[in-house]
Amino acid sequence: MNHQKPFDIALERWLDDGPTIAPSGLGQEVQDQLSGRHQDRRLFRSTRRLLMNTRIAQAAAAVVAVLAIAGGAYWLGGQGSPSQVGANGSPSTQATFSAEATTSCPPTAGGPCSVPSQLPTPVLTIGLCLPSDVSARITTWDGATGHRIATVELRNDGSSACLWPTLDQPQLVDGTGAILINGAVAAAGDTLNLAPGDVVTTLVQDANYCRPAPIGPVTVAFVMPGGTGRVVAAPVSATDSDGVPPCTGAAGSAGDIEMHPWSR
Amino acid sequence: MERDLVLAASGGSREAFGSLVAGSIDRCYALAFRMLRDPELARDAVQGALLGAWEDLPGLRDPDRFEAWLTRLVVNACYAEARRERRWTAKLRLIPMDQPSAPDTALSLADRDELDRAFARLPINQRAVVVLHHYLGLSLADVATTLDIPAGTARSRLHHAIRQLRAAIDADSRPIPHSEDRPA
Repeated sequence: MNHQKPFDIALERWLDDGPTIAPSGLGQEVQDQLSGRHQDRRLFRSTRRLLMNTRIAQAAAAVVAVLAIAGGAYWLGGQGSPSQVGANGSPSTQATFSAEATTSCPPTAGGPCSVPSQLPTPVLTIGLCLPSDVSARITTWDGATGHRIATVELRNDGSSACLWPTLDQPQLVDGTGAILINGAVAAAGDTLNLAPGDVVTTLVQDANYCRPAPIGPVTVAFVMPGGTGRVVAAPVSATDSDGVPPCTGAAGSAGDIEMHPWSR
Repeated sequence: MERDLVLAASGGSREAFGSLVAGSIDRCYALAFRMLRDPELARDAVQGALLGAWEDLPGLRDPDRFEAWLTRLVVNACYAEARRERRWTAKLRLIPMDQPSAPDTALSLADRDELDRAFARLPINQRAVVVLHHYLGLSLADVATTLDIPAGTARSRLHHAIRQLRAAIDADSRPIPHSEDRPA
């Protein structure tokens, strides 16, 4: 706690408030529950813990399935040309593998030699989410000095995992689809792996709208890096226009809009 | 002393683990409460973390790292509680039920409310960094180590969180104007 800035002091005081002692009985509850639990002394403990994570377990199951399919395809198809196997019904998930037979025969060897076949190495790749895979909605608009801040949720409605860019180009749009404020174009960067049903959130902050009053409802849109897709968030209500920030600049001047990275 | 207790607990001594719990449960609860801002969720998180600690203690390689290891378990348990809570009450705004133990007159009630609301809006992983750094007093390097994330990620999360909290405090708590307040 070396910071002496007024805000840091205020924050630390706010954090210091509140309980510093656990509720009475909590320690005893833990002790009581220990009697029915055993310590995990197995080897590969970490594997077991990992598989308790639903997403990791699903990914592991997917890898096993892909391995089985790839292995089956390989043996059924003999040692011919490499094939490509895609996950059924999944537009954004595909598994590819390459099968290159390797030989240990020396070039000068004249006699028979063994040509060990090498099982293909599957590589599970998850593609970017399609706009049709996801839905977004604004849960609230909040006001700050000269700003409006939207809390936005984005959900993977698809049936397979996909990757969503942590940063997009945010836009404030009105009920006709007109762009009121355009944010900076996002470069391709980090992504979040969204399992089906996963929800991520972000905050979008806009400021300085100095043009004619828009037609509601006002909402935000997200253009994926490279313009590969665009998702428009459902507005808070059919007439909501709380997201229009006050004009703090010259008449007609461009507004500002930016977003925080999507996070869980 | 703690090292001996950790080694004994790791060997299966419930008594030793009980001593470890007694020595760390207040800190765990204080941390969980500040991340979750809800006494019941904090209670569940601490309970889950401590039971998980008992089960996984034989896997702790360095007994001297017990405190940091337990802190990470508590933070992970808070992540899980926050996800579970979010699933069922996505729109619920949490308000701390406990009154401040020692009201601080330097912070106005309005500031407190703004901080409460802004903090509740932060993603749980940003709250973790704020609490570890500003409440437990860990350096950003230690925060990164505790959370097993790169130092740059810890710095970025803290930056975003502080910016958001600062905006809340700086705001004049003005109501969002109606459409007639906007320029035509």
